[in-house]
Amino acid sequence: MSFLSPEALLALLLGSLYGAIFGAIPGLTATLAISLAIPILLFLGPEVALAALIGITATAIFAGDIGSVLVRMPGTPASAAYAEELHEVAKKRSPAFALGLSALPSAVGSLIGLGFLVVGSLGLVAIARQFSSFEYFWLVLLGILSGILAVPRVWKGAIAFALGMLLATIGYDPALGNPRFTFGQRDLLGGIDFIVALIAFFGVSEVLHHLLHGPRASSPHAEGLGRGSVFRRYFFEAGRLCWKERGSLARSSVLGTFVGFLPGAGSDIAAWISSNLRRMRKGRPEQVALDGSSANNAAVAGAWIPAMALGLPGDTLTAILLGMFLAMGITPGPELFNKHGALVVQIYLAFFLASAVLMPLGGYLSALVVQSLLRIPMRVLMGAVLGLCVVGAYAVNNNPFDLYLLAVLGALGFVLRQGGFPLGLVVLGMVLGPLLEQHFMVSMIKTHWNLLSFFERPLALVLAFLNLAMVVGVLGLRLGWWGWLRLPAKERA
Amino acid sequence: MPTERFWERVTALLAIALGTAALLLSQGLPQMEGGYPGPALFPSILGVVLLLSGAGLWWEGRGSKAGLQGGEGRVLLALVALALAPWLLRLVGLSLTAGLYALAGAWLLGTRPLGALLTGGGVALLVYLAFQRILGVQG
Repeated sequence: MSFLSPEALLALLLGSLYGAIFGAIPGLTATLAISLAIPILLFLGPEVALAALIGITATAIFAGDIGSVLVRMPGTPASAAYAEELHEVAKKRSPAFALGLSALPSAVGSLIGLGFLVVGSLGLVAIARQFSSFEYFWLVLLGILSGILAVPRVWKGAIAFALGMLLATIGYDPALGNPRFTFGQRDLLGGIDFIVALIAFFGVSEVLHHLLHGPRASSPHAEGLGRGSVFRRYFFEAGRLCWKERGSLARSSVLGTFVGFLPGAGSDIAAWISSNLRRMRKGRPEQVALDGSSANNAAVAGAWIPAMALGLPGDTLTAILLGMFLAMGITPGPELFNKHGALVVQIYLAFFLASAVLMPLGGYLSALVVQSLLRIPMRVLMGAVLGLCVVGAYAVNNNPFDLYLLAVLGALGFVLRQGGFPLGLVVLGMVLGPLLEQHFMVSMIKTHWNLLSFFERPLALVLAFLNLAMVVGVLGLRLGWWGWLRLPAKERA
Repeated sequence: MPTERFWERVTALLAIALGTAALLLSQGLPQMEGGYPGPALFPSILGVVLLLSGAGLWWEGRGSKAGLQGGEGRVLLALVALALAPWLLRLVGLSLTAGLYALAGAWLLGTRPLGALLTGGGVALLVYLAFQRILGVQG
């Protein structure tokens, strides 16, 4: 079966619509959309499941803007960066124009990101063939450190990552195969299922969060898309503005791709940086929205580059994607390109279809669906999510034990969420932890515990330096060291 | 903000407790030949990181006000109910279990009984059709 088969195309379409609806409703995130969909996707073939997954990821971030346009509430954190401006445009011009202003730059950003994905992942694969366990160790460490340092409070980032990694140590260890922390439970020998953890952290904790706030959590009211020549406003007027701002569109898309490529950063950071840069240049609301929406979608494709080429996730969505690849028996990284070249080409193709066709055309359609769905109270939607979490967690392995894990991890996710800890980092820790341990232990066993061997290969040395430079650079920026160094010697003393 | 501080402290204590547990439990794991650290190394490092980060977070937040906002009882009730899911699954099957959780969730969140009943019924039907009939999930 190929990505051009009717089943795969239908999966792409349905995945896009599902992702768009989830992304558009405030409170239902792209990650939650995927975590609830995976138990179903696992039953489908790789091409169909991946097509649906691409549809979801490509549109969920863009769809966050639909909530901003309709009810002034961003559907995803990635849309929060320019939600005010987008809603202002919707009120001043028309909701259809604002939706076009979101959909068209999103599509452009996604396509530019795709261009980089094709070229970048092939280039990275060529480099990755030179990689040994030493280089991989430094690269994984780079991802972990940048994730921790990206959090406003470093303690919180460190706790989130370490908790995720500790959860991943349960079961057989990845290097020597000894069982750890299983407490005699056979069900824990294989470790905690990544998908069960995902459903618990994002689904159950979300429901518990709403339970804490009780009936006070009200649902937003859609303000309507307005009447008139919607098609003209959506495509032509917004398209004309995009053409006028083509330079800025290209710049923010490239910036978004680069931010997405960095481990630990993601669509949210890309959108904030890009829209803030425009604000600093006194940009009008439509220019700010245009830059933000193109950057956050470009970041989605950017995060796929290290995920596909190296098997290293850049954000939560790509961490889920890697989990999905592994569940299907496909190992991401250079091996993916060697053994499943046709699949890679089809992934690119599906990404292209989702970006170029589904995003602009489906945007308006999903907005209409969402407008009706927003009339359903959030408490009803959350009740349904709780029921689906139970089914999803059970359906992954048909194992009732996973439901105990769902309760325990849901409670953990709730506590972390209430304390303002980034849940995405816990998930990233679960993926990156075993990789870090495996590459470290393999390197150590190979060299009879010679720690200096981590600095002997040129590429490893460069990556080690990058780690050091990033820690010093980011800590320097955060603690204001550079400002202090610029002071005259007398004042420093 | 005092609520976030409260949960921050809970997490800091949890991190300290889990870090200590990881350090202690790692002692029982086997070593490699030649006395080199084996499967215990990584959990021990994580134990230290959790212990230090938890203590750091606790220290950073000392002196600031922290408190609960109310509604925690509902959360606890939902968690206890969730832990009963395997038992309920054996008793009434998958689709009804899902329906019951959807019903209870919607009701606890403040939906009127009829609305909650419709939510539960809708989810049970969806699970039966999509998961059990089409995807063949047992339960």
